[in-house]
Amino acid sequence: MTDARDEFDETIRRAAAEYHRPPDIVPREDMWAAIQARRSAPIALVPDDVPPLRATVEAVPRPRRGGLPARTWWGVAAAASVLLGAGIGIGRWTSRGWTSAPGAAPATAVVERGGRETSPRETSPRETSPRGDVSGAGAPMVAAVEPETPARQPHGIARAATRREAPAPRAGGTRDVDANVTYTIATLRHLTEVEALLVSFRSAAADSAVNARIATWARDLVTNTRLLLDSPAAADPRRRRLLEDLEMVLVQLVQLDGGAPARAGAVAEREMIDRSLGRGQLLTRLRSAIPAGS
Amino acid sequence: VVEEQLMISRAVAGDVAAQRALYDQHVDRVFRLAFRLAGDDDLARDFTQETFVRAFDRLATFRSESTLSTWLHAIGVSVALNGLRKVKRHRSREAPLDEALTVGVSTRHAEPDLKERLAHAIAALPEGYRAVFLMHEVEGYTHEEIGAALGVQSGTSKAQLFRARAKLREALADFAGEWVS
Repeated sequence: MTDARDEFDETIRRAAAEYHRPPDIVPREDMWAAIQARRSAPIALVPDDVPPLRATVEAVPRPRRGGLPARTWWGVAAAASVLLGAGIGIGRWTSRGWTSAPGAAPATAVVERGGRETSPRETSPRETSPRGDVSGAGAPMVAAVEPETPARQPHGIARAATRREAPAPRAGGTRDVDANVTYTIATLRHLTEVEALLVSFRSAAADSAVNARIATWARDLVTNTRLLLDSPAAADPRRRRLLEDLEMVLVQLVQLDGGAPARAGAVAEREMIDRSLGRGQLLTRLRSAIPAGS
Repeated sequence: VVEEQLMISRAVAGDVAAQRALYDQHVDRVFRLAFRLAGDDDLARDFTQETFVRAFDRLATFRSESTLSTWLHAIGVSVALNGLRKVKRHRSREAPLDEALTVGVSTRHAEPDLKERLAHAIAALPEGYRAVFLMHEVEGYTHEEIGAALGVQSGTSKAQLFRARAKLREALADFAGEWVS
């Protein structure tokens, strides 16, 4: 009996050698390049007190025995996307309200790139950036906006200006860095979430329910991607290209119509998305853009 | 060992050539294990890359209490298992009923069928059992190496292997008569 069992175990062992058999050639060079890219990814702009970016993914409940159901994970992801989008939107709106007060003829103190503060009289309102782009190269940066005639302003802008009267006006350079850091954090969080979506897409079974969830998730992320593309976060050309490529793939993911499970094109669409991911090395570039160890 | 220590010191100091040498020395085995656990080329690459990124970031904390290979594999297994959990790779692969009904019909077709059923059975093993089974039975790791990589005693590794084999025998019981007799 023991011999028979040993023989059967040996049979199992031999057959198991075929289980997930690795390729004969290990892609050393590709992996090394990716490792180097990730290790040299810039991390200087991320302040120390920012929680690890991957914590965003980790914080989302994982399906585990006795844990939260998968539906919750999708729900939380969708909620996070909406929240991130709202945050970016509010940030852009307030940024615009901060620097452009139509018709208000605001007195502005302007700090040039070198840090020299000029008299408010030296600068006309037209010199402020029309889009409130605090990182616009060569353009003078607005340090403070103090409307002389608040009654002439739209209520929202007046309120925004009033809210900012309390803290002492900070130097334009400091706010510039703050804004850049904020956009960088928002971008990295967004990229982390896109990575989570893409990995989920590649690993999830191709069924209509999953497709529907992925499409919903992708829809939120497309909006955020577009907001980031229209923000100073896209000033960096490499990041801009990445966001544009991601936007294209996300749009393709949105097309995964979960409502039509029998649609013949669904499989072809998944293959096409897979090819897009592979061709642009999107996951590798995405991970390169996210600081190592975050 | 001395040479490896020297290489580690240089790698910690930021010598990319030394890092590459350490990478070349260990990457094949780390990748193979990642692939065995993940069964997917992209995931295996990701896990391997993540393993080395983490290893190089933390190499200064390596105290030579174990071999570098054991330390790397501990990181690799942790990365792979966490990654697999994260992307829900542990999807159910239970054999459909109609597939089960065809078992043992023909001895000639038994082997490919066994492999397929075995794949389902291995995938259905609990995570710890599966890792131990693949590391020991397929990749040839010792129980000491497995214990170090998984952070358990070697006795626990042996016990888990024993249970994994029992579960596989149970799952493939309908093959036993055909192959053993």
